[in-house]
Amino acid sequence: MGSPLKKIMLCSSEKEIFSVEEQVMVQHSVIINNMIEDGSYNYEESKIPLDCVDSKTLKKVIDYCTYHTHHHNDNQEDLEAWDAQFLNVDSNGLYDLLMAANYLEIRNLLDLIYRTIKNMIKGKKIDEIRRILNIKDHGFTPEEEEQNRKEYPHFY
Amino acid sequence: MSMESLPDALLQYILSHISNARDVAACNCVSKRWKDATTYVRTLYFPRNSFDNPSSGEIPDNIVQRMVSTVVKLEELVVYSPFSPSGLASWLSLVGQSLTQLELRMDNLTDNQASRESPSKLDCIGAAKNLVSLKLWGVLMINSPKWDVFQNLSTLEIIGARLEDPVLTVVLQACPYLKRLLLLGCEGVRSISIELPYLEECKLDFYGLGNCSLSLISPKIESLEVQGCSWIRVPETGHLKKLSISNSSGNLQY
Repeated sequence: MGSPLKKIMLCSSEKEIFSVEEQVMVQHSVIINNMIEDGSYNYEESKIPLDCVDSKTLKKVIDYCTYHTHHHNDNQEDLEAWDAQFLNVDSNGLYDLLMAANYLEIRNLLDLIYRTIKNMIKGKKIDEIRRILNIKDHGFTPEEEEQNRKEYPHFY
Repeated sequence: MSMESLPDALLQYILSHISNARDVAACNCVSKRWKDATTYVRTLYFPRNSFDNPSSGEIPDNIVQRMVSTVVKLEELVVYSPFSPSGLASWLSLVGQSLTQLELRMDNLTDNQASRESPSKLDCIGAAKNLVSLKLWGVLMINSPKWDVFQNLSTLEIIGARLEDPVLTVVLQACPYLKRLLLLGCEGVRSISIELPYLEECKLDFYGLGNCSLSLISPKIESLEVQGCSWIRVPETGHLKKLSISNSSGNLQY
């Protein structure tokens, strides 16, 4: 476990540097935890390059990890309310967060996003799902699309 | 970047956790990539009202079969919507090997025709040889099912059944490795002898005059709850931590 006083540097795809409490990232991100544990992070010089995470997304990820580190004793309802507010983003924002959480291996954030997407799909019609998740090219041939409409008319 | 560009592995992972049959079917229609990814679902759950919507006029059995047939490795199947024995047989011929959990609302308690069906719904379940957990609601058990031994079955739950002693005996013989046995709201039991060497938890609730007799030989039993039995013999109780005996009618003799 990292010391609460130590800070580490994360570098976004725009080369913006974020200084974060080490403990916050170590607790949440499997790959950062591994880097600290195996000594490959040098506190004097290193910044961890996250080339596939933009600043806006990285800031959100850090917010998530920071909040959950300092509020893990809060009651479940409050945490869920905070999470819901946190994930109140459009589908592109959700996609960016999902990719970042996957890259950094932040399990609880990944699970939260999975659950959110699952709830977005629940009970929805096809066009709604496509619109909510911004899926423009469904890739079906007109015949296949016709067949789907025939098999599940109430989904359309 | 949008959800359209999700890597296959992530899309598969997300969709594999959707279980409600209606939502899985909808995902099948969202896009070709989604359709491919939904083949990795592990659980399919058909709620009671799955087929209430006027659909394409297809019979429910066939819709379940079509959905089951698209899945690569189905582990859990839960069907609360109505189905027929031949429907069940056809699904289990497709996924019987991979299923580890099966839950069915049999709904044939009051069905007079059910007693003459061959193979019965109960018979068909035998095709799911690798089940770890089997849960049945509303079962008519007056003919012994033609089952081999379920080698992996550790949990059997039957909720609401009309059964006869010899049938229950045959059922339990097919499940020798049970750790957990629940028979709730069962009527027709008079005298039953249970010998299950690995059983740890047993909950029995028999309807009727409250005068059933029970003999339980399960040396590992930890929790035993019995209702509706007036004569109970449990010779080996070295591991027993929880015992509850109650009766809604009749006398209790110790």
